[in-house]
Amino acid sequence: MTMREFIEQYGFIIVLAPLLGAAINGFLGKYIQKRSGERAVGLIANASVFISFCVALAAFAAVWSAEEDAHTVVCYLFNWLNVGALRADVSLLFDPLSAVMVLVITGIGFLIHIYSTGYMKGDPGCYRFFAYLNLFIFAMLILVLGENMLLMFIGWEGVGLCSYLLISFWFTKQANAQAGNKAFIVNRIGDFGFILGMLVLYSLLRESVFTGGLAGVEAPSLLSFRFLEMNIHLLTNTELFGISAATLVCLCLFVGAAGKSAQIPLYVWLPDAMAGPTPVSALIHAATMVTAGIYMIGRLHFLFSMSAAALQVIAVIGAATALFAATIGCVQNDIKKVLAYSTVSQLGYMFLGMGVAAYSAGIFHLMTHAFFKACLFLGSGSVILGMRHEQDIRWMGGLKKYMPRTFATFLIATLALSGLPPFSGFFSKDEILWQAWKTGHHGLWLMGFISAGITAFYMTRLVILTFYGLNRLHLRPSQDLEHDHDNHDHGRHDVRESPASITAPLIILAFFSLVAGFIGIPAALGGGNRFEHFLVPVFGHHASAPHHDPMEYLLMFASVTVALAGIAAGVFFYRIRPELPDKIVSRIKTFHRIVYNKYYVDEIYGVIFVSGTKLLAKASAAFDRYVIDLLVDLAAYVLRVNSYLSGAFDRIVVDGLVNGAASSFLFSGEQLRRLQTGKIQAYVMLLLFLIVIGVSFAVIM
Amino acid sequence: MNIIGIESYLIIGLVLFLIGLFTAISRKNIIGIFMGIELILNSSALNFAAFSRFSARSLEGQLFSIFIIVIAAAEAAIALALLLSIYRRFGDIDADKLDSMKG
Repeated sequence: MTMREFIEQYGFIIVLAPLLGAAINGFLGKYIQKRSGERAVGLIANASVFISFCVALAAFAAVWSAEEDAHTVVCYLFNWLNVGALRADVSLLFDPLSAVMVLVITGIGFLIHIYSTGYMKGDPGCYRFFAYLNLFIFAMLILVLGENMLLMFIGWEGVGLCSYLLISFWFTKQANAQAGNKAFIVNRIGDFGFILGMLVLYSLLRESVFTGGLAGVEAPSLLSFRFLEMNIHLLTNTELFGISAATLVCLCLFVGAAGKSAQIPLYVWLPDAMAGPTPVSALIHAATMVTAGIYMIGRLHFLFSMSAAALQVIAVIGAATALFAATIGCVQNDIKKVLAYSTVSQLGYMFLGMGVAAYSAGIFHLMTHAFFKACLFLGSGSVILGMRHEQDIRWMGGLKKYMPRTFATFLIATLALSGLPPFSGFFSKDEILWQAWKTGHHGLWLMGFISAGITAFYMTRLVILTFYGLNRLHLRPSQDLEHDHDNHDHGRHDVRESPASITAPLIILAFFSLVAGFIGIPAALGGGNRFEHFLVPVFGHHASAPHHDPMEYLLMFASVTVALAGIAAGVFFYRIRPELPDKIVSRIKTFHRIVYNKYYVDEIYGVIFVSGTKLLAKASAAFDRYVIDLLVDLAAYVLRVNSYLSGAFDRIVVDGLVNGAASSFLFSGEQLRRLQTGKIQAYVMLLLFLIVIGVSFAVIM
Repeated sequence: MNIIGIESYLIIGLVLFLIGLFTAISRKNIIGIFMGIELILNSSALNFAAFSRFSARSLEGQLFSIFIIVIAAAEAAIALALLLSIYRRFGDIDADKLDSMKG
């Protein structure tokens, strides 16, 4: 059996294993944990993802070793829907794009599962956590491997659900539960766009397919990606509401992508999502789920390529998000919040890449970002554990000495994120910037360029405040007494390196943050950009791949310079002259306050949408109370009168008849009883009398 | 031979019947009523015998008369027994006072 046949027949194991793990831990986990401890629960979850990872490796190998023109391996499972013109199969699609994604999801997922066994140790809800985590892996794999848009949407909703469950994992805290709700609701807005786009696409396509003469084929799976790619040209000249159909569909789908991937204006949920456990932040809110939007655009690139306007929108929003979120990241004090804004910013880069039609560059950045951002988040988790759940970087410092492994891996990932060669971030980020410049989006390039500098700056700030200098835990104003007491006693001297289950994933991820870029070294630097070549079967050839432009070197030099400048600024402000930032802040107080409060976007949304909704709800309530209730009451009143009348009729007429009959019998009985005197002779007289009457009657007749 | 016709028998039977009926209705004493009933029985027995004598060749009517006499004897025995127990029960045999079956 070749690898290809194996995947065609058994590829479903990739998605089945995590589902099984989730089912076992979900249904029996409580019992298992009580019986055999958290270790057993963790083992089940890890094993299921590991199996998935092994099969994913096989799938990757199958796609890798495939001959020309046969890069797609399909694992058909069963027919799902077959209603009229609507057909959808449950089948898994393996091509270079999904193979890369599956490797990232299962690989990083597996590392984070290992990490979680260390991080969640001692939590009574451990089994719940692992069940959700496995379920998430399952949903994400369905999203990525789904062969049609409907199946993708199932995964799309599934990851949203798991994200919600995991953000509010510690649901006894009000803030966590609210963060979960916020993520879910904001995502729903995006999902609505996705559904809308899917419906418009479906209805338009059905129209043109069935009028355009595809009669011989019986009920094609219209939303299947392969069918879409072959037949999308049917929509070229279709218009809807005065704009081209492709643009409309793409914009709807982009709303979905913006929701899931936290872009302006739907990014607000991601920073709040940091309320969840740190492994969740790493897996879902940095490495995998938030990249679903980018993946979706990559998957439907043939559709997006049809609409220059939609791509322009995507590129602009991506670049704006990159810059906007980076500025917020500079002033946040919560270690996870900084990373969250950094994630939003990096997702912006990816959208910029997608928007300038450099799909493989976007996916490349997605992959490298998954490595280094997961590493950063897991590192921050390690720090948080070491600091006994202190997340504020103002009270950290000096951890380099206590947590050498965490520090080293964090530093590598930071350098990768800052985009310094030869770390992976450099190659992917630079590829996006270069493509933006090359396609003539110089303004967007500048925004990305500035964001790169800011990124380097805030990451340097984060590293210096966390790991360098002296520990400032004792400076912390005592807010909650219980916690503070705990920290004061042994906080500072008790900071220890985390156990191996936590540092091992960190080291592996740091290793990949370092080397993952080498698979995509651009031609300009003497590499073959293998990553792009690998994705050629999906995205097609780039127009001017072999052409060398001296501008490329210049831009590369510029972005390295700006990254170095950012780092230098960070070192200068926070290491050499640590008193300067406060001075600057006091100089530009208002501006700082605006940025610190995230430009008050949450508050603006609160005023416009939340209050608006509340107002609408109040109006609806008033309508309900005064109009609907009135009608209901009126109806009730009419009914009551009616029933009173019919009651009266019943009581007087019907009962009267019944009682009348009864009493007439009673009366006649009363009268007739007198006949029965008890005297024999009276009876005989009567008898005689009647006989006389009878006889005389008979005689007369 | 046949000086006395059937009419005479029937008239005597009718008279006997009416006397018996009157006695049964008008008497207050149960024994009196009982005697009236005996008269009615005998009037019918006379009728049987008379009809048989004047119309049929067989002796069926006479046979019935004898039956009636036997039954009357049995009836008399039962009636007297009833009378005794009524007297024991109510201490009286006045028919007007025995009205406990009154409705």
